[in-house]
Amino acid sequence: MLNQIPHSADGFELEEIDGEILLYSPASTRSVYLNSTASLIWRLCDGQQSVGQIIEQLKDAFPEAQDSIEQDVVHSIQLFVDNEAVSLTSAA
Amino acid sequence: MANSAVEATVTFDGHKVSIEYSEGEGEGEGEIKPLIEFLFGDLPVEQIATNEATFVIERPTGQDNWQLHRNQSKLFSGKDLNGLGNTLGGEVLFTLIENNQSGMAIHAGLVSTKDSSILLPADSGSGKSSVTTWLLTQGWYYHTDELVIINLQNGALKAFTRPLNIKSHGLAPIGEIFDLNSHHGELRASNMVTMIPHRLVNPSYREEIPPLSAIVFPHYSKDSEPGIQKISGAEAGLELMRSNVIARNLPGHGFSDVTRLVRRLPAYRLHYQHFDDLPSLFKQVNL
Repeated sequence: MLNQIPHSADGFELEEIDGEILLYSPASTRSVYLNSTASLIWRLCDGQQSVGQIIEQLKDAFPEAQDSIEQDVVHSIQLFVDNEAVSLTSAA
Repeated sequence: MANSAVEATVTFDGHKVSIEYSEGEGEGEGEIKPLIEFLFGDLPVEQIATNEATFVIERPTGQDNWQLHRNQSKLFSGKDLNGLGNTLGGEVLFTLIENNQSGMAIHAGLVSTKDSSILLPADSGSGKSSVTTWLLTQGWYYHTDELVIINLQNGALKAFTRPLNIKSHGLAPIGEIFDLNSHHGELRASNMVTMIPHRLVNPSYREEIPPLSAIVFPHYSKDSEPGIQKISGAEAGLELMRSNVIARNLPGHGFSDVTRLVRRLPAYRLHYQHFDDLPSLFKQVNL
């Protein structure tokens, strides 16, 4: 997964509430809850950076949490993919 | 006396259904009118022209089976009048809300004190009716154990007030807080559900519903640790979207309305094993 690029899916409505995000897809009637960590990761799924680059960016920003960041990012992006809120493409 | 057709109407939040039945001689005479009153007697009568559907209750001559139809569809056939009532209650509710566009229809219980209400959204089997019943024993006013409409324009609440519906597996615990035996003749029990008139649990009843002050998502489980936790607005929104039963009728499926609601109300997730857990848990969060 680390070399793949996550793209947030179209068609989700987003509401941010106190630093957390609730996504809703009218097409699939699926709701996805993102806690504050997952919300931050979601915002980095911009179709520009690979999963590995997102991990490095967050490690730079939060050096005190280096040990857990990779697991958090991979877990969160897998959750997004499972809920069809993110698609992964291979880096060019 | 010859059989004669009777039509009853049931209305809720701008929608109406009719129930046709025959009241004639023989066994079963006079049983349907009390059943309809038992099920729907607390719903305010509204003057509505359009009929959403007509339900027909029959007991064909020479048979001992009750039958319930909607159009040509047979919804129930059996000897158990209370089973018929359980099916009728569910079908009428669904029909009354399926075209509702005035508000969010939330699968939830609703109780109130003097000046505020608590919404109790939950899936079937989560202990929603049981915790609602317990709250009545503590003096809360009953509004519903099943469905609440929250008006999109003004936030006003409408409750589908019906008898408390306690599923078979929840009946023994209810017996610990409500004397089922002494009220046996006033209950309506079928294989799946026992329907308890809410006034037997708390005789005080009022139609007016004060504004919401909190949302509590109840989860009964004999295995989970009892507790009550405040949850975030986004978590509450996720849970509430799951209970938003006719979302398809609403602009944007009511997503922005749900999030507007959870932004302004505290929400809690309640886990309980026994009714004994509940006093201290509700006290913890000043409810």
